[in-house]
Amino acid sequence: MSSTLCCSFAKNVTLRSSDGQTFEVEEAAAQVSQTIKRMIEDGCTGSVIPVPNLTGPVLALVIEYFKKHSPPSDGCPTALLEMEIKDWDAKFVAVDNDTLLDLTLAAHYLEIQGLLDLTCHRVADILNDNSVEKIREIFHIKNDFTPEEEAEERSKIQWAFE
Amino acid sequence: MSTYLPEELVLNILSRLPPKSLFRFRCVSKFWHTLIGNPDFFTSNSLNRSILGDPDRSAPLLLVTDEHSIDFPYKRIFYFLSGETLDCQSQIILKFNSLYEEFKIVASCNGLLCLHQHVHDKIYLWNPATSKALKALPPLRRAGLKIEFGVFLFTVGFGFDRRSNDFKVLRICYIFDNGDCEQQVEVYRLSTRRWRRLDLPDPFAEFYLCELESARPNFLTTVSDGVFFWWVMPAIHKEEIVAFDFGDELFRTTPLPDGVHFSDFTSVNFTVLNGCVAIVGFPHQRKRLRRETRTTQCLVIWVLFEFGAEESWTKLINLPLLLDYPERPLGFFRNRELFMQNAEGQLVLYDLLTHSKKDAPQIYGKSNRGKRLLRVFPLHEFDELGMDGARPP
Repeated sequence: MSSTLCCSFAKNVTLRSSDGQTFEVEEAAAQVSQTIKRMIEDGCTGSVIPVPNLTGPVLALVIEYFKKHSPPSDGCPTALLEMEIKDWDAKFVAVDNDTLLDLTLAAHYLEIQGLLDLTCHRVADILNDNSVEKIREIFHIKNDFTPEEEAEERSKIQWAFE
Repeated sequence: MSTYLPEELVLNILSRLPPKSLFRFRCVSKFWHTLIGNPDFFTSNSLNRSILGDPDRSAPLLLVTDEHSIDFPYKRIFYFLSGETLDCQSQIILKFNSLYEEFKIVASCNGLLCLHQHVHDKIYLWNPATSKALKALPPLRRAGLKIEFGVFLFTVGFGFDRRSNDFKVLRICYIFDNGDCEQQVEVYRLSTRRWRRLDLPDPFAEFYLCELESARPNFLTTVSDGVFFWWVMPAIHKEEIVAFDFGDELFRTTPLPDGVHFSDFTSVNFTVLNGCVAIVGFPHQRKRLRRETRTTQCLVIWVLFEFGAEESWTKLINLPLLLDYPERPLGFFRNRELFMQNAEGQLVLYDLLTHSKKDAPQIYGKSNRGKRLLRVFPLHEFDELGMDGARPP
């Protein structure tokens, strides 16, 4: 019964990043993350919620996303609002590659399905436009093929490089 | 900062890429090579997901069957099926009283069917959802043609051109008379309801299309949006796929993969899988096992990822199927499943990833011997277009 009463207030939770920065955010907004939602349900609300996989700057961005995507207090989202959010989302992921990958990881750890779809889609778009060499650079991947192996692999699928 | 992405996350990203990019990225590293995998339907890797595409489209379907009979009249039945349950929602029966009335279903595009009556050279655009009667397109101009009695060979193509937001019909005609040969290639636009003549640089390049169309009633053609495809099997040349793009109104060709011929297959269909031209069929078995009705056959799917690049033909690894011989592939459904006709004439749906098979006998009775399932078409919703020309009274 007491929990029903609590819901009528704008209740805040505190999130702490891996580097010790703390952020206060509305509980309803933070529950966009399934991971945080579970922690709140398990009774972590009294103290600070640790988010050990995210640094301060990344957590700050994720909280921006929370705020934009928290369920509206007054009724159903309108079509106009949905359009605006879609527009906001597109701008939100128009960031440098490292930040984008950090956000992708954050969405993965915090189980934010909307943000995961958004970031994965954006990463796929970037991949699609780039060469194999550039992909290695973006993802910090070491090429472990020998030059001969790579040449052979490429010759098998020449059409995909044209 | 980010140097490590978990495998699950990389797979999530990769499965959103088109096959061409995925093939290219197999060269990134050995780990990515393994993750992306091979075009192999035994496993559900990211390449399979990419090739098959989005699974959740379930447009209503049109199933066309002929009652197999040597005598006229015979019936052709159009069943409208729910895309969700495959239940029959309604049906239209057309009767053919003679060979002259018979028509070929050229293609289905955005819910509109294009039909061609070869004997009278009449072309129809038909919206079966709204109309039961057929009305022919205006006849073609015959200006400049003096021939009255000759041998006429035709082929017809149909597609939707997104660039001009218009349905278009292509008709190629060859007329032979006293050693003379006249070629006419014309394009019809539904919005203007007019035919327009195309001048092709190589006047006899499309001759084989007409020759084959005339010789083979179930000549293999397919359509993907604005491009119409013919599987051409000339007697002297290598088999190839000829494409006509309704956008730029040009013909292009790609040879079939080396060593693949129409005659290799016991049953085969020519279709489109997630936007790519695909050949799906059962090759002849080298060793015929005892005279049993149930036998294991291998289903082969060839996909052409990049039109114009012969090397981009990719064989999806054989799927061994326990079949009621003979079985015929009809077409893909929801990008995950394949419609087939079994020996009883029933419609069977085969799941390419789980390898499960389900009969769909509720469509029209349990046994359908003597009937022939012709085609299964998705019936996508109409776009908002001036469709009056396609709605005969």
